Amino acid sequence: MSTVTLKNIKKVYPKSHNDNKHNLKETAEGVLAVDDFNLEIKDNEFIVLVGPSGCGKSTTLRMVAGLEEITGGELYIDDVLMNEVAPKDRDISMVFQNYALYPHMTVRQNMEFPLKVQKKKKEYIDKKVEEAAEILGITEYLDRKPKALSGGQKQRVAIGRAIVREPKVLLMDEPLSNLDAKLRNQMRAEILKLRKRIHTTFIYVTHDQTEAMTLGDRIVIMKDGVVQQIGTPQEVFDNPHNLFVAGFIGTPQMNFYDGRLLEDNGKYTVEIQGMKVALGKEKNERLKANGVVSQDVTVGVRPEHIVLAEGDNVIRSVVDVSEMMGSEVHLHVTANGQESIIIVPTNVIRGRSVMDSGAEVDFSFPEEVVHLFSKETQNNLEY
Amino acid sequence: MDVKNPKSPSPKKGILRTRKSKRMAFALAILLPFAIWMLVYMLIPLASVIFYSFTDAKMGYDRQNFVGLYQFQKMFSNATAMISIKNSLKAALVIVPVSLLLSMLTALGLDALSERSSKVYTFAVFLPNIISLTAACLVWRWIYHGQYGVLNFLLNLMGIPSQQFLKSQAQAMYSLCAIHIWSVFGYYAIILLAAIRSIDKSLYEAASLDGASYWTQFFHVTLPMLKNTLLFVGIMLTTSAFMFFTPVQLLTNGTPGTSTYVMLFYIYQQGIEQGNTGFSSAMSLVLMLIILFFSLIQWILTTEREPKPRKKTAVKKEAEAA
Ligand SMILES: Nc1ncnc2c1ncn2[C@@H]1O[C@H](COP(=O)(O)OP(=O)(O)OP(=O)(O)O)[C@@H](O)[C@H]1O
Ligand SMILES: [Mg+2]
Repeated sequence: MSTVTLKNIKKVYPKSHNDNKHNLKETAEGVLAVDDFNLEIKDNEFIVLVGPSGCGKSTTLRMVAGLEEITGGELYIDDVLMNEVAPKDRDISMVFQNYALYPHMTVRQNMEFPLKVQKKKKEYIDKKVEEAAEILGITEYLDRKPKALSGGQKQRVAIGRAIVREPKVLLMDEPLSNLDAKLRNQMRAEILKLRKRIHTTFIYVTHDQTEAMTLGDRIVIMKDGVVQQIGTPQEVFDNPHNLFVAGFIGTPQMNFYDGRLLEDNGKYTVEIQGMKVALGKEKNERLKANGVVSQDVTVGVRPEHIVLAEGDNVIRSVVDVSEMMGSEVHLHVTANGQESIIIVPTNVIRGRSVMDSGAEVDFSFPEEVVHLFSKETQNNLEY
Repeated sequence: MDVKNPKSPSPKKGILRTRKSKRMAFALAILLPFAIWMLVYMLIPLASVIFYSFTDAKMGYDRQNFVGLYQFQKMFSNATAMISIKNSLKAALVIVPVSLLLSMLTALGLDALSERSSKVYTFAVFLPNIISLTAACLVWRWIYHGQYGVLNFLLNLMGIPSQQFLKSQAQAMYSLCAIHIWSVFGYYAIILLAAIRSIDKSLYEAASLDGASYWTQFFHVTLPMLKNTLLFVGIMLTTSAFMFFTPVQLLTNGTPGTSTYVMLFYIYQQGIEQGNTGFSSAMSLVLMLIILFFSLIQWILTTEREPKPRKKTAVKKEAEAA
């Protein structure tokens, strides 16, 4: 029900002697866990923070919650500065990875707790708890203790406890990562349903890019405490702004090749292992606008955009292994020492021998699926 | 023709055949030294205490007669014995709650400190445990001294007249209890501190986001999570309160009057000093039953009862009505 604004948010942890194994920047005061985080979250928006372990997702979330002090920058909820406001006065609730249910209370008592603390009327509490239990399908467990519940049920209770209060902002820190794959898919769908039913701003942390892509209205990709890109799932998938985002989003991973970008009179061509791809109008314009000159580049192409091809202007490769996935086949191939994955619809190669190890396949790709990254900055040359 | 799989092992005979019995054997092997220790130092003395309680045994005589409940009758009609029971109960009633509260508050305080200063204070709190209580009592004698004592000096500074801590019928018992509390609370504070530190921090984070104040968190998270530890500490404190003895022996010898006669002191006098083995055994047995009784009460009070399912509530009723 609220907007959340993060302005130049920064977090410095005091240096500890025992761990030096992170990639974080160190300053005089300590380790820079989050640096210059800017984000405006709209009312009722579902934001996902995603990135590899240790990139500062939890730290950011905990700063929003008030569980971690903000070293620098400003945090606003509904345009009110929150930096110095105590967690209990922020009207935020949070779902923890380890559920954080009170073991000595029943499910009902757990869910009642936030309302009891607020000294709400008993009828109101009963109504809210039972509504939430209904939404989450845990009505029959209301009188059980948490230890008599499965992981998925515990997480539902934790979500229930977080929503009974109708908080302005609902924070979730890897809520599904303790669940097995099947349950995780199921709960992901439930969270999608939940968000249709309750009117709250969500901030959701995960290291799983599939979760991020399926749940988020917008996703924030972080690495080493620094935001790499913010955008809708479609945007970050189609237009990754740097090499890291390109490799992080999408499974199987994007293929990368060493290539050379050649500029000739405002027309760009990219050359990869002897194959020449002339870029189209759009790309030419964008590259030209950025003043890109001829240079060595990293070329990124998604496995599903590669096509098997014939002729001279192709990349020649040898199949290492192939994985039959049902409707499609993943071919792992090596071309001039560079590995790539090609996704081919099963019916295209039916009856052909390309699937066997050692088979030779030639492939190419259309110009519009090519991503060009600077060798120097690793940024996408088009943006 | 042999139809059985020739490779399948024929069932072996012997006690170590199944996994369960193997585990049992392992447990027994591990527990054997302890079992022997328990037999020699606990069960045999316990059995002999029970046995002598029903005899007229005296030290120095090697014959004793079975006298039924005579020793117990004698005890319950003996004024000093009854006073000692009353005094022990009084001491326990002071020592257990005060130590518990003090330990708890100390533990909370230590928990709130930063890691480094907490280490220093933890050591300070633990110190009484590594000082010999006998030596400490000598210091306490000086602290409590009617004329030159530090405590009186401090009281005088605040304009309060000097007190006869160990020589007044009204104060002596409490003064001794204070020594006992001083000697034990640090140990239990550290046990409680360890238990507090092991509570999942996210429970507090969840509670503080839900708007719970420090004390709400204490009563709804800390206290319930410490239940088992508190039970343990409570029982240990109860036991130690009834075993309260050294300060009495060193500082007051039961005086003034009989105001600091506690059970163990009287048992010691009767059994060791006067050699009334039968009588002191009977009293020891009573002491043991009292400790057991109070421990049981605490155990019952803290045992978890199954939550009762609630009756139908608002939403369901509505749904049924519709
Ligand atoms: N209390 C702390 N003191 C010092 N450094 C910390 C502290 N908490 C976190 N860090 C460091 O800050 C960085 C970011 O931590 P954070 O927990 O936010 O990562 P994360 O993105 O949530 O990772 P994960 O996916 O593993 O949960 C890490 O390098 C971590 O080592
Ligand atoms: Mg984390």
